[in-house]
Amino acid sequence: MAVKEGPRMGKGEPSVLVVGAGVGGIRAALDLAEMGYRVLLIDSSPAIGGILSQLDYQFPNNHCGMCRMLPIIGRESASEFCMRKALFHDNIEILPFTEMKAVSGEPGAFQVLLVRKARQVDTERCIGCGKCVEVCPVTVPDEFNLGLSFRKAVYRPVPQNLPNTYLIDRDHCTKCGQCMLQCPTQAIDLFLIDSQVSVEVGAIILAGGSSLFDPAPFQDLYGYGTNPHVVTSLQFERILSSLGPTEGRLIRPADGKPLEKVAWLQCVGSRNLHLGRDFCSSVCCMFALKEAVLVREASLGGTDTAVFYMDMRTYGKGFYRYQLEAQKKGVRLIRCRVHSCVPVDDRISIRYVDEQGEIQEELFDLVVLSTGQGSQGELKGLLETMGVEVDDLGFVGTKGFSPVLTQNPGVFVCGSMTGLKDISETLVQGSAAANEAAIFLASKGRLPARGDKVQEKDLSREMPKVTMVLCRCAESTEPRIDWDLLAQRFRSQTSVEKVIQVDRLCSDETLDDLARELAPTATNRLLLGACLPHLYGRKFHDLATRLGLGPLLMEVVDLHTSRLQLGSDSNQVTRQAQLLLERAYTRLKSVRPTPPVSVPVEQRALVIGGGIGGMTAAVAIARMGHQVTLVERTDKLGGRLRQIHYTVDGLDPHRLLSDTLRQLEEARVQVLTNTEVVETRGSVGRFESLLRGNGGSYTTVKHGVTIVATGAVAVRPQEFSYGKSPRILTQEEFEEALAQFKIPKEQLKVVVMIQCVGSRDEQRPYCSRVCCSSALKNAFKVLEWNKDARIYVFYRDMMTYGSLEGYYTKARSQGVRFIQYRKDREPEVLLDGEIPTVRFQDPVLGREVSIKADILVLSTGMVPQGSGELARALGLERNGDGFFVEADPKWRPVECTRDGFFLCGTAHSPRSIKETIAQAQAAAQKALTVLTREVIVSPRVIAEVKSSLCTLCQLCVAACPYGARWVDEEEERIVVDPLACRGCGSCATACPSGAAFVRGLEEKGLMKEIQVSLEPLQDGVGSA
Amino acid sequence: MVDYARIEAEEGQVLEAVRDFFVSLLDKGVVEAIMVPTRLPYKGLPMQTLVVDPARIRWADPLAPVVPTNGARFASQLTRDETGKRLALVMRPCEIRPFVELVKLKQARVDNTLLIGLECLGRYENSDFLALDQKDPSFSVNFYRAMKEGRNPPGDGFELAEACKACEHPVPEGVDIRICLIGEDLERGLALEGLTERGKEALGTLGLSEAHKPPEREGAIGALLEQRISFRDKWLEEISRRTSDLGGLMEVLANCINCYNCRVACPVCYCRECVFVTDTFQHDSEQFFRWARKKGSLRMPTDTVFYHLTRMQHMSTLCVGCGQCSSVCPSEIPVSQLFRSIAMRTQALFSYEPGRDLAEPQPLAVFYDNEFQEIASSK
Repeated sequence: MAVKEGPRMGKGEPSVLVVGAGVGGIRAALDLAEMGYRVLLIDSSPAIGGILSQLDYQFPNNHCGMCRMLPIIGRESASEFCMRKALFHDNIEILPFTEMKAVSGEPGAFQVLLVRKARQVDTERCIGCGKCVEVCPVTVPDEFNLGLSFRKAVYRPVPQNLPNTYLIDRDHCTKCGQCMLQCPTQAIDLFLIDSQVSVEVGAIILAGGSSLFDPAPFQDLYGYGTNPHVVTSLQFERILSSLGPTEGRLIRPADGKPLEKVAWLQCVGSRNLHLGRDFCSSVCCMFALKEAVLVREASLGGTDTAVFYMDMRTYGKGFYRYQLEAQKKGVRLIRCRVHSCVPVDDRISIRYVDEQGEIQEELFDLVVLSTGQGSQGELKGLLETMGVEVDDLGFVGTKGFSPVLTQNPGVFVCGSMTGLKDISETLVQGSAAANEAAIFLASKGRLPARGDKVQEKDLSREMPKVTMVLCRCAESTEPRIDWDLLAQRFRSQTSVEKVIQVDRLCSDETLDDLARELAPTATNRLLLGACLPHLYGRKFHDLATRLGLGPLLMEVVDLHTSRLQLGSDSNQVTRQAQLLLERAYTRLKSVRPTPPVSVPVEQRALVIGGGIGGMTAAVAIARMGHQVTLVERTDKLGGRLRQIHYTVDGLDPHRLLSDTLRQLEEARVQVLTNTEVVETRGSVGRFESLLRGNGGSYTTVKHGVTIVATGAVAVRPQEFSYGKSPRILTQEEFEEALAQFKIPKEQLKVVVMIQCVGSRDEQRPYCSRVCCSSALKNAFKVLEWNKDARIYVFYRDMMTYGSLEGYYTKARSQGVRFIQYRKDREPEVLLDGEIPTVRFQDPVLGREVSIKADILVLSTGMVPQGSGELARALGLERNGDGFFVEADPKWRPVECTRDGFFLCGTAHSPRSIKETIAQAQAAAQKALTVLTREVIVSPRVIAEVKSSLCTLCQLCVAACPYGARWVDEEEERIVVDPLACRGCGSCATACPSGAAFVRGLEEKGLMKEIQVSLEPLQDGVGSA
Repeated sequence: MVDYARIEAEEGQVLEAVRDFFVSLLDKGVVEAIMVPTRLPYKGLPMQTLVVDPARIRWADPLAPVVPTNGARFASQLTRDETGKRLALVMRPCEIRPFVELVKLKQARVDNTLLIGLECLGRYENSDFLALDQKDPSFSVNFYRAMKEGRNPPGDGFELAEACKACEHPVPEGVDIRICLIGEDLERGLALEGLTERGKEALGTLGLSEAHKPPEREGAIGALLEQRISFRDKWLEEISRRTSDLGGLMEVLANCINCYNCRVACPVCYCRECVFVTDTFQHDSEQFFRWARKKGSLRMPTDTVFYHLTRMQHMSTLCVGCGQCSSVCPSEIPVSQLFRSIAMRTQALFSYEPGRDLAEPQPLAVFYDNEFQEIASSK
């Protein structure tokens, strides 16, 4: 067998190499591909998706929504089905099982040496029959289920992948050769070796992800490895999965005992100085809550769930609400340190000290260790040769406030490689990395390719003429399809133009021949009977395009999978093939060919809000050569950034402001201060906004996209005697005073801080995320001035996620005292003149603590700017707390529910400067995927209206989740915006009369297809 | 502004008093037209009639215990377009409730209407009413007298429509003016209750004076409801039992002749053209043979169960249980009984009651993230 060639980039060399095909890498690759850049996406594992391929359910809706990462504009360029199964995009070449070995050359022109690991099963030949597995003598634990089940040395790495082809585990294979003998398609070659490929790329994006903490080497860790009823949180995720070892049943994998009581132990391998892991894994709290909620739901409340934790770090958007919801569903949260975790009979006894200081003991059936993540150390050596800094913990350091720039100007980084992140933060950073990479490439003269204009024949007046192509490639194996009989049955049909039999449809030669042969014929529908349509989808799609046929006019039928499943009866497989072809034929016949609509794109972005988020986004768009109008309500740019004087990690916000202001000027962004947006009309690509300027003058601006970056403001506290003494300040006021040297040193002897003032209460059930690190940075500032200062921090949960944990540790080592309080047992503030005293009943010490403070600092939360007037003017949704709502909290974190609007900064939710910058760049990147197009072409599968049937009841308008329909009052009909419509079919479901329908899914065609499917097939019976 | 007024009548002349009320609405210019059930001299059934000439009110007969066909559809025809005409609509609860749904569906408007709801003690099937009316010229008056006294209404062997016996909405809600019959002594008159600004103002314009509600009214309503709910529960239980599986359902629908009368009679079936008469259901001739081949024979007409299931899916959340579908079925299929048994459940699922409130959006028009978690959640 030939050694694999280099990447097959059909349309030119790739511009960007993305290393790591987890969700961060996929996001970056898709974003660049959508702009028109060619991308090479590699992953060292045999499949893509990273850890997400093992997580079936994700917070907050406890579903998977990964497919929502797929493009919406230009969605026909990419796969349009479950991403956990497969992914393709016209502009992305995916090479799994490939590693980056060496990098040379200059930024802008890197030479990268890739090693393609030999899979030893040819994916283009393997038909997934599984005969090799039957004969393989080697059995080993299965990585996919984390050792909870077993596999052979020849196996499928991810069970839900398409095409689901096999792979040989070289570490365990004994090379006995049985599989090679059994393979019906000669797909296996045990002696194949790795191959090397060299590629030239302009930029590299690192998205290597994280490693999981393995507790096994530490024998004393709660019995993991010795007690089968102690599992990791990822193992438990597999227990919950219907493809997992227990098929999703709530039983112990080791002995099948039903789960009556399950415990989660948090921070295993995180926040642990002894193990050298002084960081928070950021995701485990939500992970554990989600798993516990899933158990409560699946057991209908029958299974007891308890989470043992130190701080419940529910700091992200919607996290705290989810925690409250989990508690409502009966998930028990127990704040404690677990003393011991030992087996008692077949259960596990957990001993702990509760908040009252009492020793408690409980028995559980299963203990789940919330094992943290750690850095991915594999690339460290290589990265250092590239000039990319890697810190002591193994994370890649980024430059200054930038979330994605490394020390090498052509290398960018995203996701957990820079510190541990959840899905949405990873996606945001993936987009931000794509944005910086695009700007870098553009600066080197490498601009994205503009999309080709669609060239489709106008077929609306032609009768359907279907050409059927049957591929006989797997004919050598039993059972055989009787191709001649099939061909004969269809040839006589009135709408059949031709029936062609070929030997290898997937080969380029065959496809070329077909294109030549069919071009002069009347063929206007193509029906392909082939194998593995998911693997060859793009090639077949190209063939249709060459014949001028839109995607709806071609159907690919997988004849071989069912053939293998059906067994040996040749008659039966032929009949099954006939049925599948009949169905597709029926559907093709009924499709109305309508060419897509093209809409020109207004090449300007409107950015609302001149804080750091808005300014960053404006610069990021303008630097790609697009016009940007930045609108600021007040008289100067900068927003809240002007009130931040230093950060906990020692960066300079003032410098950031002056740098950004300079960049705005350099990039020629049009800045309008004292200006507000009154209204935005239109849809993506063609908006028109009315602006009210200084003195009430009105102007309009036409733009293709809008970025909303309106920010947030600090809550003015009502509690803790705020306002009654000059010694009581908010954290923001304290910082200002420290920066201005306004507080005399003798007043900084005793400083008390109270966290969560105006956050996480009934009125504002969310965490404001930055107050804990603000408290820490101000504590350090106080200590800088007076190292003997006594600082007390009253907190509920210290939200020092990720690497912020290190500062928490540092503060404690410097003597800052942290005292935990509960919302229902708050500290009390008494005033003696202007001197505040904080009184607190400490349950652990069992006595009252009373501290006379020089200064009392209240860490107040954030509330969104404005009352919602802007949201109404823009047609955007706000959540219950007043923050703008994103299209999907995990998978589309910067897109709004209305297309063409993107969100960043604290208008979205509380976040830090660096996080705001990441989000602003992500929003800019999303905007660029629209602006780099000259026209937006509507997809083919969209809703239409048969006005003759329509009663104008407008149920469809109400049912449309995308605002893509409205009534044209003058014409008295329902209008559909072809660009906003997603083809979801909600309108067709709501409409009782069939007036609302989705093109390509018309009732009549579907009914006929169902009829054909239900019919008993009989020999010699023709088709519909 | 008048909240509650009584109009007096000579003994047995209550209908005259109601007519006088309608005449004065026209005379005083409160409305320009009234849609009210009216008997034409040559026709026995009081049909909904658009009256603009006060002289024509003398044939109006809204009290006759019959609803020849549901008036919501006509109210929709009269108000669908913006005419600016001030119109009074005199309807029973089973007509008002679908009318409210049609307004939500933009098939009718209430901008210029004065909704007058008539309390309803039930209706007879059209043929029964014609027979009873022929036998006794004072049938309507005797009907209310007997109902008030708790006696069986005149005419042994005749029963009220089943849907009415199971109806929990004898009292019209959400109207401007309610014509109150329950608990009133109809020998001496009846009461008018203004429920909205518009209604109270109209009563004021007519110069009616404020009166007290009779204390026995609430009790009478309560007793009536109790009786109807008890019938309803048994009635629905029976059909649910009979249609608990597909075989049972097919048996109940076995006599359907695809005449689509039920769809025509249904006040909330508002499609311009039913999908069952579009080409989606124009099967090729060959198709019938294929179906026949599958089972050995094919019952004609086809698609009957499919038709009822589709209609059920389209309108069960809006079904008000008026019973017109059963009344018009030539094959005596208990369509209303079957549909209500489903509607009860679908409406409960969405906590939706058709006709309750104009401001309440229809189930298909809204989506809540947290609804149907038991169906939508992960397991």
